Amino acid sequence: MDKNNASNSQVKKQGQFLQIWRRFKRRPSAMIGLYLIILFILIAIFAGVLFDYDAIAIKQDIANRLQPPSWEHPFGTDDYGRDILARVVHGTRISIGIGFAAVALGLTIGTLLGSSVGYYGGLYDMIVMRIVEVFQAIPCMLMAMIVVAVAGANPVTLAIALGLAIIPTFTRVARGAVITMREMEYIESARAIGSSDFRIIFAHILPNCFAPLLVQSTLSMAVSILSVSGLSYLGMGISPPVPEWGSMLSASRIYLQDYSYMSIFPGVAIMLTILALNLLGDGIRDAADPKLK
Amino acid sequence: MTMDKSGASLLIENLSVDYKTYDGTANALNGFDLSIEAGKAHGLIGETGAGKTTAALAIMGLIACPPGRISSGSIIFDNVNLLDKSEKEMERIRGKQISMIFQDPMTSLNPVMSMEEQIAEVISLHEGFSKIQSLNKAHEMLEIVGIPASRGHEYPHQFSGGMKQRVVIAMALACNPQLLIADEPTTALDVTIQAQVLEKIKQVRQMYGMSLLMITHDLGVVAETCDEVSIIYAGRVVEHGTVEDIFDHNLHPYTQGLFDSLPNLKDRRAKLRPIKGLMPDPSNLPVGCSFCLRCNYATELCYKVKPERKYRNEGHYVECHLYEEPHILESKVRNHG
Amino acid sequence: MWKFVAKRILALIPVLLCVTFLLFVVLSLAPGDPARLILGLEATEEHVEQKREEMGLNDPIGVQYARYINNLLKGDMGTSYKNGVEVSKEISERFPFTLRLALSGICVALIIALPLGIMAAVKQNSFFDSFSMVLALLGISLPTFWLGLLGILLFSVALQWLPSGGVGGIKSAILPVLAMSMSCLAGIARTTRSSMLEVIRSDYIRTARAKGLGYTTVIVRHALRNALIPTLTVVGLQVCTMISATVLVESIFSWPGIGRLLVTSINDRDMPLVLGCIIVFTVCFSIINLTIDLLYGVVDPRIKAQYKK
Repeated sequence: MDKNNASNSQVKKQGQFLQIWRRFKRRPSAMIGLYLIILFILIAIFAGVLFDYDAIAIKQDIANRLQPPSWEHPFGTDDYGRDILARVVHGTRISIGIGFAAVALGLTIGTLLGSSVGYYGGLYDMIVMRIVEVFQAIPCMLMAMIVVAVAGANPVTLAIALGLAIIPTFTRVARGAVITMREMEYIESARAIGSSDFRIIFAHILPNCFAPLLVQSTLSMAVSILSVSGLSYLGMGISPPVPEWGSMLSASRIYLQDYSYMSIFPGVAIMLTILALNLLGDGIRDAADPKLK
Repeated sequence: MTMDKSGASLLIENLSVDYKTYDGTANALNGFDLSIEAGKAHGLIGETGAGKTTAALAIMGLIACPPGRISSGSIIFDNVNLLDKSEKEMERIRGKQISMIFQDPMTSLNPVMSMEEQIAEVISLHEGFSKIQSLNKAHEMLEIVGIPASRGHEYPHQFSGGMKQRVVIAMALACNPQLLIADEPTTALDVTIQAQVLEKIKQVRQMYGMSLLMITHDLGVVAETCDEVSIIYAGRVVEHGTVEDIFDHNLHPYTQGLFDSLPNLKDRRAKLRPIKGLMPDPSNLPVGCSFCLRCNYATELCYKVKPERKYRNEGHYVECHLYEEPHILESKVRNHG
Repeated sequence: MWKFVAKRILALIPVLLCVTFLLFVVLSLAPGDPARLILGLEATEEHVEQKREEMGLNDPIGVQYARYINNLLKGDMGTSYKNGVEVSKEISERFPFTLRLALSGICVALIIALPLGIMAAVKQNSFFDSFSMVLALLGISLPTFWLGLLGILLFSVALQWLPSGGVGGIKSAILPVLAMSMSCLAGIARTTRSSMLEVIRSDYIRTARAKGLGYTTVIVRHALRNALIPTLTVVGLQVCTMISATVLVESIFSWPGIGRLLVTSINDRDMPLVLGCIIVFTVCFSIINLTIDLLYGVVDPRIKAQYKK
């Protein structure tokens, strides 16, 4: 009977995923978000195929500098004559790459920490959560700035810095979800048949916390990408000539008066990426919890 | 001691309500009829999903349209059709002439408002009293339901479930309504508290003389408090009569099933006899009798044609193909005679 | 109630100490020798070593930290490596600018976002709702610094109505304040809307309507206060985010505040200044969190009761 309960939770899981996916598909805004993200990921992966990195994105071509958008250069050229479209495309790779890395770090550590804290509770819970609360108050960007001040700015340090900054949020989400789940009856059953704590957490509880963690991942990725571009804008992130969207916007500042097109396209790229992530996150949240609209 | 106001009559005829959902149209009420004489108590028995709460909300005018829709019928209260009334007119009726108490006392009260404020609010709204006067009246009401007035300034979370429900009753009765609708008022409470709350309801009925619509799935509650009973199934009344008619001479297989489901206290070893199956999906009701899929006596006719109303005596009727007037006592269904 | 406030303020102190200690340690790991930074590249090794002794850089980190806190309590936050100016002087000169910007930003954001969110929830699925939520979605997707750039592009360059930077009168404050408030406005509007929606669906709202109260009265008297409770949390978080957005906004608009100071001091590797700025930010965040906690007590009597214990 208890084994039935435990394997029932597996069946529940699969049925649940399908249900969530079906509800997700119904909302056009959610699907747009999904398609956009997939598009951006594809662009990031195939950036090198679309535009050769060194020849087009990096190589300077002073003769062609500051050309407004045209057929040859759909987004125009920048102050070094480089094709802006190519640079924006390659910028996708950097933003999405760092975003993914940061979220992967934050998600893994945050979930491990949060689920163990939520499951075991007690003094462990209290101490860890106090510490987490302290770090939670420090926004992503400031955290990243501190790390940059110490360790310098390159994709690796940025990814690690942002990953660390988002751990508290994931810890909270995982903890909250685990606390709700652990009171459920099928967990009692699993414990009654002698499943180890590890197995209970990983095979039974976590799969059901899938939705809130996924939603948080999209939101945190959005925050990470915003932070990276913000930092690069300030000169504390990815530095030129690497085509990062934020640093491109920073470079366009002095040309705002006469060559305003330079300030438009990288910004639009950032906006669309963040928009897509938000639509995706909203869509998953609504699909998993349909009574709230 | 009876107040000068007494109950008013309610007559619902052929009421149909449906809801539009993603998965189709759910027919919550299908030609629902109900008649309560002034000052009487009427029990509405049915399972979850039968349409009881929809009926109550329809009387109050609280059905959200969209996605709800009242497609036919009339609700005549005190000789006026409520369905013709505007929202403003209904607001004047709610809480004053018709009051409702809901099922779950834990969530029915505003958590950030004190108890006395919540009662005083309905008083000052309908009676136009000043703030002090309303609070005084609120304290009176609290005493009537057995809660010390000194606790009036406290908040819902400081009260137990039974006490919360009594405050809800106080709120509902504060303006001497002519009809009280009680939607499963004791379902969420412990058995001992149930008894207290039902006793209170009986007491205030005696005091005020108002009509009562008691919605419940509990046969015991109906026996305690009601004069007449309607059994609702899939949005229609399938049997109706006095308490004696229904309890001693029930006819519809569903009603019999309800009584059979009660555990036999005399024979502890007897098997439980639940009604097989589930209530049909309101968006996909059977063509014939709604109960045919669960009925032990269903015939070919039952699946194809909706049964008509057959009368056993003036007050007691049933909607079932198994009975033919005037031979209503000679039926294929086991009777208690 | 006041005991609770006092307790919370006292509880802040160990938290702040921990955080500042961590920051102190982390920043001291930065590459570069402060003594050499001050003396310049040409200074001799002995001179540098002498300077290090002077500055106490050879002491264990705990001692250095204790010394720092000791000075801090006296109001001395050290001196800038770059130009020898006192850190506390720099910070106290610039703090009022940031404060002005932040307060204005919060006010503008709340004045627009709260009513917007409430109306959108009340008129759910109407044109107003869809329109404002689309705007809010765009709002949280727009990077603040890009919004600032576009603002300058439109209002300074194209229309020439507003200056593109610097301080001086209302005109120069409009764009920065707008950019600041945008960074949290959309988030607050969305959360207000969703918590209103949830509250509107609850049983006690149904009870209120069954009492005969009009829809508007129900919303204002019953729904609002309950919806505010979860909204407060988000407002607190968004305000913290907005404060960290000062680093961007101040840089774009050349606003002489703490944010800009932080950016320049990090670029200059001027650690005492960096530490000073971050401590100011951390204290701000703690104060915001404390204020939100206190506001909970004001809005929700259940929490007020807890505090009173």
